[in-house]
Amino acid sequence: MSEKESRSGAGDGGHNPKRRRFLQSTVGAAAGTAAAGMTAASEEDTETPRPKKRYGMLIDLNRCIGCHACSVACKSEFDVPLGETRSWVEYIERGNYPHVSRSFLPRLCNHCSEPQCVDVCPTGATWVREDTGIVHIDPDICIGCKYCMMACPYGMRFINPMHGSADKCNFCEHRVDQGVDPACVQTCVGHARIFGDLNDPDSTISQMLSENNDVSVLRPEMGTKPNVFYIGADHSDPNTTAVAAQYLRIDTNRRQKERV
Amino acid sequence: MMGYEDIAWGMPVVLYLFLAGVGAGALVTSGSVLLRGPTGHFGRSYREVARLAAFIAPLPIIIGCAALVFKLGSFHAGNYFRFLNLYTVINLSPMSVGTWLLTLVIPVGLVYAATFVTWDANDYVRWSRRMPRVEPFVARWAPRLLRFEPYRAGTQHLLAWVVVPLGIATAVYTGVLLGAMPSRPFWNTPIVALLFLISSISTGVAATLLLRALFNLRRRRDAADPVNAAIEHEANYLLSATDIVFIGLELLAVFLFLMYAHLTIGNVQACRIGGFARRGVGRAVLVRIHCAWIAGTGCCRALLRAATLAVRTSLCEPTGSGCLYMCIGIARWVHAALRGIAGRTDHRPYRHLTRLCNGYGIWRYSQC
Repeated sequence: MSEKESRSGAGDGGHNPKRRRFLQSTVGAAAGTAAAGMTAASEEDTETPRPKKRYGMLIDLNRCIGCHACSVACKSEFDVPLGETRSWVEYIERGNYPHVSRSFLPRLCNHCSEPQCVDVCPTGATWVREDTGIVHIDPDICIGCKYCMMACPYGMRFINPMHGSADKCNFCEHRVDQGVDPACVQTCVGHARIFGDLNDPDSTISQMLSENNDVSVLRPEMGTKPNVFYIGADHSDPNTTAVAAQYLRIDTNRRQKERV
Repeated sequence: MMGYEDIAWGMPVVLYLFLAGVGAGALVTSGSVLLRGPTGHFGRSYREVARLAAFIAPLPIIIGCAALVFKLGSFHAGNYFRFLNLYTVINLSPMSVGTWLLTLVIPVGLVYAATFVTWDANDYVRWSRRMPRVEPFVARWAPRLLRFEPYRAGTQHLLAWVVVPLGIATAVYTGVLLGAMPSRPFWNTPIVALLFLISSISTGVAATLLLRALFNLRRRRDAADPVNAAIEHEANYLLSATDIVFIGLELLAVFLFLMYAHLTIGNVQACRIGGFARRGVGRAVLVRIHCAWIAGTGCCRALLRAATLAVRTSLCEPTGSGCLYMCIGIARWVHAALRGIAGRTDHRPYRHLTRLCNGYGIWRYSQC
């Protein structure tokens, strides 16, 4: 199986099980053909077993300088329309003088292992790729109902005005499939971003995750199992700091001025 | 923490939630009144009430669905028919379930409403003579419709059994749509579905009451007849009483909703019951979002209710107090809606005035 076939097959496998089940149960002959094709594909997969990858990203905030190079690289890589962002960097200022601090929090899709955006999609336009764990959107299927935008606890999705479908970071899967790092990783001047396969214990990201104790994810209480990890992240919440009478200012550096 | 700006759904979706609730409530009202029959408390006017509610039901649902489609990103981008992708998949997404449900509700509601149309072919032919191009078509098809006349009552009764659960399912689904998102902890509770169910039935009854007051000319004509007047009065009383009971249940559901939120996410402590966010802590974002949503749907519902009451009072007591009550009702609800959307209370005198109006309005309502 060629690389291209492998990718498309895996993508269909991740995307279509529900639709396939529907087709199999409702449409007789067509479903039979589809089922036969699917069976053949799965047999081919079993002939050439290869470990499934689960891509993730680790961002070391001790090395991040908030230069926005990642945001710009993402913008240029995908020609993201003005006013929208796939990746951005938040500035967090907190504390009362003289105990003040400033930190940065790069944001991107967390490519959750249990994504809520996928569960609520009414058309099956978004799914988790089985071969990489990347949460993918098919803009030709997506109708732009914005349910995924409402369901995402991280506010990562937006409607791309060019095609009217939901859009977000996809870990530069066109590059990753060719063995190249995502644009934001490649352009990061502080080498704060580490990208790799979380299922591979020898990968840099796996080793760093096992070595560091100060690793966290955003909003773990949502139960989505994010695959973007942070070292030394400031999880300050405006409500919490308000109760503690502590100054907190968050610049999102994007159209939405309030943090999600 | 969720921000106010990340509410992706705008007014068309709010409109849809409201209109679908009205339609679903009207379906439930119509079906239940019809199934109850003349032995129910509506007496001889039961069929008239059921008929009116059946005619009301499909239109708001259709308009709401159109608003929903209009709001789609693909529609705005020029892909006008991509929404048909909804029909290529069956999954457990509340929106997918709702799509199929609405696809069932709309035609069933239309057929159900059609069973209430009086099939007198001669009337249609006479009416169509005003339009020469239509006349041949009507003259040809209208008599054929008479063939269905013997089956009309049976079909109507059968569909009444169908539309009641369908209406309830539609009302509940709109609540599930919002409640199925763990990322919105304030909505993420089954109480939302209960709230939407109660609210939609209440609104359906209110819509029936309003349309009944507006378009039922025969009632005015026969008002002089004491027997007819008594029957009409009893029907109006029952509808009003039902509405009041459901409003009470709705308030109870809102209370449960806020209590649940307070016990789980704890942000409700920043505001008083009823959404009166205090200045300074008005940044209790989840509460504000909720207020905006409830107020958005509540605004439409409130205008409907205020109009209902206005019409009723203008018909029943065309005096100064009736006009005053109408103004108070509208002002009260519009103010509540704006206050919810703005997420803050402002002028203290206005707040006190609103409270007074609330009390006066409840008292007046009980007197109607």
